[in-house]
Amino acid sequence: MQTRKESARGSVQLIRHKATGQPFILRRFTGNSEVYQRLLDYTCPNLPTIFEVARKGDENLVLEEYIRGDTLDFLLRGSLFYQEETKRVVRQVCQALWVLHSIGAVHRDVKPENIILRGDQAVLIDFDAARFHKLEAENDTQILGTTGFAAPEQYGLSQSDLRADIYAVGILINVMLTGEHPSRRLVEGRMGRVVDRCTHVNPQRRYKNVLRLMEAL
Amino acid sequence: MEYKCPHCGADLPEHAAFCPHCARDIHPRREAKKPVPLLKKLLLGLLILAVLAAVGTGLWLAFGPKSYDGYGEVRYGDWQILLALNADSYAPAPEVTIPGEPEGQYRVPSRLFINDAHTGEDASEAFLAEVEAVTAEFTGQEDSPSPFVCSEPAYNPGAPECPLLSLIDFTGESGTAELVWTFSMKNGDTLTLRQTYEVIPIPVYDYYPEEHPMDTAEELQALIDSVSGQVEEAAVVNLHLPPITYEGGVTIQDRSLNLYGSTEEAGNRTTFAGPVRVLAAYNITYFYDMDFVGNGGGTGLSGSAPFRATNCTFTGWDTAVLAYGTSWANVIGCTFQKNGIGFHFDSTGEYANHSMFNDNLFEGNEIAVQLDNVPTDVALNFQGSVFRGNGQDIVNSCQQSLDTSQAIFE
Repeated sequence: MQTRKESARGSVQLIRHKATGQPFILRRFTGNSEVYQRLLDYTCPNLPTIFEVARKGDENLVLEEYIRGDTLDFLLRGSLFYQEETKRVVRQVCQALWVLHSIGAVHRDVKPENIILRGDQAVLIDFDAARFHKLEAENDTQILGTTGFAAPEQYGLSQSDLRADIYAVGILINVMLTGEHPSRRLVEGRMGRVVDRCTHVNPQRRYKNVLRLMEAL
Repeated sequence: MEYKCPHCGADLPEHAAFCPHCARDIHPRREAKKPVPLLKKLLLGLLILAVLAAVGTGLWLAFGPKSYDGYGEVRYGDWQILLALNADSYAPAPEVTIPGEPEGQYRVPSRLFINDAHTGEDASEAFLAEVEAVTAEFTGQEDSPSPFVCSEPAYNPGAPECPLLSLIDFTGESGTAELVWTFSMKNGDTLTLRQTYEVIPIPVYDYYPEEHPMDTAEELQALIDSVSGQVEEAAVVNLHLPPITYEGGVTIQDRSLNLYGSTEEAGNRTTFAGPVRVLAAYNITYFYDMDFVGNGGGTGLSGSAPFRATNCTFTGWDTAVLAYGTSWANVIGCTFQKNGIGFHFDSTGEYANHSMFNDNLFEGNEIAVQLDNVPTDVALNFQGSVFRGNGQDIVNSCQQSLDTSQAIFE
């Protein structure tokens, strides 16, 4: 057993099955595990397979597929990505988000640390911050997500919906191409316009959904 | 409730999605749908539409009704379908050029032939069995002062070698037009056969007695003989004869020409007392408004080549008019009196140019009309002709088809 991440909200551990030696990720966290529960029913090459979800009170235990590869965050420490490579990775992240959005969920924590490159496949992980988008809710009840990648509405400006993820993808594109947040340096050219549209303060002005963003890419 | 792993058989909690014993997934899953961008969807839709259209077009081309179009001929399956001008069933005539006098009226046949493309044999019966309808019409002559007119395609006994023909009527001023035969086949196919018709104006030369000597049979013969050297072969030559009597006859042999008689105020008409012979085969030789007066023997007007007499009289001949050789002859509005034979057809030709023998008067002849040999099976139409006081009216030894329904036998 190896602890990969530990915080006040929970931990992530790499474990191995005693008999088979097969690696798994075991997540412990407090909060809502509904998104994991729903993902039990799906397989998607751009999402980790969720094998089991257990809940006791507010405590959750999730067993999920171990994705062998480097995080985008790790890879970005050494270099930047070419435009074509960026488009390919972001399209795959969009495909993962499409699955989440299609079940009514918002990831709310799209960032390089939560994207693992397995060969030529990008896999979006960590749905601890994810929640279901409820139309009647006026704003998010907790401050979640990662500073810089989280959309303004996640800080309480309005309820975060799938366009919050689009905001984060816009930041991701800019970081992959420039290494910096768009507020400091926006990537030039057409990709800059895509980032600009993704990160518009008013969610209404962002791409309506990931499909539109994929088209733009 | 007992719940076992389907892979290793280990006991599991009721709602387990994973077997911790064998580390196998036991939860039913489905593959998440992949997002298809709208543009891609649109392109895919267009591609599908294009494929469907291509397949539809292919099927239509393969199995739908087809159109065939050609000038002079088209190939349709194993058949060669062609339009010809003459009896040669293997000679398509995509362009027909016909010389015409400015005021001339003409009729030519557009003949349909159907040959087996492999053997060359007549296949008209098999082909026509597949035809639903056939029409013929002229196009491209909206501004013509004298448009071409064609008859509906039909069998014509005058040209038994072809299954259908359309008769084309035109004048020397008809210009150019396109004849279109359209065959609607029973299977939905359409065949279009085209022929371009063009009338080339014929130069016309008129010879008058004031300018050219023609007062005797000898002078007239000399003029006739000299004309062929003076004008082109295609030209029309009209000799306008004075109202005199030619004691001798003449022979027209180097080229066809037309003789126009005349009448003076006292009533004398142009008259031939000697035999007139037509040997020139280039075109029809016409005789208008003249008398042929014999003395009881000989032949008044004879021809081995085509000729036509209109408004002429024939009196006192052993044979008044004789068509022989390969000639086709017509007499129209003529009078035959006191001849041995009025009109004698004894030609072994294969060509007919006119079926009318109308408005004649046969009176006091031993035999008014004798038919020994007549080219083609076309019915000779004696509409309006009067037979009066003849020894025999019609001796039809060759059993030629006749239309005497409107003739008058007194």
